[in-house]
Amino acid sequence: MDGFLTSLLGLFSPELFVLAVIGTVGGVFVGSIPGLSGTMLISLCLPLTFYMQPVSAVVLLVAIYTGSITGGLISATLLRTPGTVSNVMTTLDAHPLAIKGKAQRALSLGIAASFAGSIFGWLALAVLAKPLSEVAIKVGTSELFALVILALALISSVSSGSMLKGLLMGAVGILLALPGVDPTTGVSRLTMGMWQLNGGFHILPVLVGIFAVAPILGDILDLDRRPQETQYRHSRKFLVSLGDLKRFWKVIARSSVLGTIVGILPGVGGNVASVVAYTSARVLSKKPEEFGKGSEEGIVASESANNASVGGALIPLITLGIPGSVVDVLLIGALMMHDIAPGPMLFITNAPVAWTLVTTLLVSSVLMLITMIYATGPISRLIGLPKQGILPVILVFCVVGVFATTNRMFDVWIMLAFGVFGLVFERAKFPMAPLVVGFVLAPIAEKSLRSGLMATSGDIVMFLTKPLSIVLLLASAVLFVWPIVKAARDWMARPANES
Amino acid sequence: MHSTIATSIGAIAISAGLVISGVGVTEAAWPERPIKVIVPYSPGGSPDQLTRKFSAVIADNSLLSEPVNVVNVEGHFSVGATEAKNAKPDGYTFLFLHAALMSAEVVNPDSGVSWRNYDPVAKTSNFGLTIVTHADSPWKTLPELMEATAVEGHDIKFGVNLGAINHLTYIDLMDAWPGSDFKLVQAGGGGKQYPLLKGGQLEAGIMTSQDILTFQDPDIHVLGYSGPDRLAALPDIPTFRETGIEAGITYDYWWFAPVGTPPEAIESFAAALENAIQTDDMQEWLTAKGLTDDFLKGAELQADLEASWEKIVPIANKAKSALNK
Repeated sequence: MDGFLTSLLGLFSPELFVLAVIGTVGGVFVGSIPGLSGTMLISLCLPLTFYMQPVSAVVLLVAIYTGSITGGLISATLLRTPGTVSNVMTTLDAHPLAIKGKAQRALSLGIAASFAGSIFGWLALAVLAKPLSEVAIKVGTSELFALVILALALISSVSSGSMLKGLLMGAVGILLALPGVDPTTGVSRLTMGMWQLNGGFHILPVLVGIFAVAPILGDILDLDRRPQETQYRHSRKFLVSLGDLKRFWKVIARSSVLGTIVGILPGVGGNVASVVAYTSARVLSKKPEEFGKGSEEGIVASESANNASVGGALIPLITLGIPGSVVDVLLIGALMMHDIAPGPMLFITNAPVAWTLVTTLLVSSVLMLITMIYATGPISRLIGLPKQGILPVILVFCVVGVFATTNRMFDVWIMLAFGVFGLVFERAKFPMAPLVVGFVLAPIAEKSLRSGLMATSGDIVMFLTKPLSIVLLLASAVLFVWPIVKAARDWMARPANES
Repeated sequence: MHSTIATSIGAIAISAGLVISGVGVTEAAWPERPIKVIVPYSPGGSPDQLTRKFSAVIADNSLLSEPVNVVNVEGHFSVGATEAKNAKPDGYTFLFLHAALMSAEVVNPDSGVSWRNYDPVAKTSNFGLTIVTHADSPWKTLPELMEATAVEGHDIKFGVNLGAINHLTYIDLMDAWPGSDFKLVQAGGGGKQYPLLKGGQLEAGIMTSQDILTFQDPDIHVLGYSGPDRLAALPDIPTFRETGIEAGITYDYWWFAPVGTPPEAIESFAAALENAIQTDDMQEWLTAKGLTDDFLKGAELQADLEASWEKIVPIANKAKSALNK
């Protein structure tokens, strides 16, 4: 509790508070602009955080995360284009409401639900993180290995698009983690004769390439497309009453719980959370026919769930060092650059950083509420900014940022290569999330597997005798095999349909 | 459409112009521009801390007219080491490293590293490693632990970084106590072993005195230190020899330059480091961090490197054969 209060008070120091405000407002802003996303802004800020204290870095990045996931609500409502993937479900009902002239009501509901969800996710994080860390420290190599395998299976099968494509990208991510000096024997492997690869692919150029360069290249290709706009005149009237709370508290509570749980699952974040909450809200609603046509319940479900997932996703990050969502991969990257390994020891070796993850989420949730109430108007006017002016500048900063951090031109080429790779595969509907999660988790899996085997003199039985690791491995096996079974079934069914 | 392209090109030009800085010119008297020291480890670790301290002391005491900038190259250390080897030998790029350089040459010849790839500049300070257990463990002294391994056979899980310097110290220790043998577990350096020891997945391990001073954790019990004398910062920790075990190797921190670097740059830089290490500020810092104030340069350093190499090769060969087992 001491650590919590110290960290909370620390957040009100001028430097950290300014960073929290900049992060939240910046996050809301990029979140609201279709094509720019929180992931992109965080990738861009990664090189910058290298020059900050770890605590400051965490404040900036978590604030962006919180802001961006809510900012997408604005464009989802006004443009029918979700600002981020987490707001896709919001679009279905918020935009129809806006067309009926109730844009202000849709936004107000979304903002209130976002705040409620955010606070719920934060509560879960604050209550669970420390006790779970204390349990997690006892997690042995076999359980950790099984957990990572489950995470890989989960992210591959739950991510958007085809499951087989997800699995494939997960495998590519693992492959990318292999080059470099073998962590156990010290022998170089898969470096293709390039000494620059002795250390493997640096995490920064890979992340910036995939999450900043690739979408920018995509946006440049799509510059001529214009989203469909609605008439909107901003007023500061916040159209939510106590009556709404009475009407929606059940939806909010259920969606927040679902959002937090989905957030905890490794690698899956706000987008899946909002889909799950939205679907369950429609099933349980008294007026399911309104969903998709401007249902207020739908907006509330989607927005409270995606915000709740932020807190949920930070739980595995703090307790096990496993990313709860793609943005958490970036957070891990930022901590790794400071030589801080997220995981059960975080509360012991870097308690200020651990507590800052918790307290920043609370403070930035409040800042997000204020930003959304007061800044929706100005931001809605900025949505239409000419992107041909912004995108090249961002691209230049990607190059400068990566070079400044890694001090090698080699990494800039790697970043650009991953940018092109990301663009091509994204266009072919290959999800990028399994790739980066595989890239980050493969070394953990390898290390725990090989250390575990050394401890048992190469006896694989230990992975099959511990109950927890057996359950986790079985669950992963089901998740791995399911897409293949499903694909085979679909394939068998196809000729019959065609004939 | 034309205006779109024009705006984009303009934006690139302006933002690129903002960030491009001036390029250096040919030198007259060294140093004419900032000096770059490559630390082939991530920021915050022991080598990084020491290099940055030297940089600060040199600046504070105006020992050089230009700043010494520390550049971390992460990943395996051979990446930064190779970068330094390939750097222009103009007197503005240096490398900071320890015996890992010699160990890797034996254990992993593919990595292409060798201490002969550089012109030696100076040796600044020396460090040893400590053997640790969890405070709850039954072994309170080093001989008790060694005896237990001989009796219980392969049961005590001991964390090392295979092929790295902590593995070499381990081999040195084993050689001194025939019959002893731990169950080696690849865990990495001290920072990586720390959680495993606390969580009970390792029963014993090996870390630098700097690690011990950083963690300051009552759960970690220190049994012995590999250096020749007790450390001022850890006065209660006996040396290996004090516990009756005839073992104990230590490692030096070295500064290198790419082959062909102008001798005046090497001499001037070595002199600056020598002056820096003699300051009270540096002396206090080294003591607090559990490091010694050894300093060598020139011909003495060359002879010392040869001696270190002779000492490390046989142990590293044992490490290599242990890896191939």
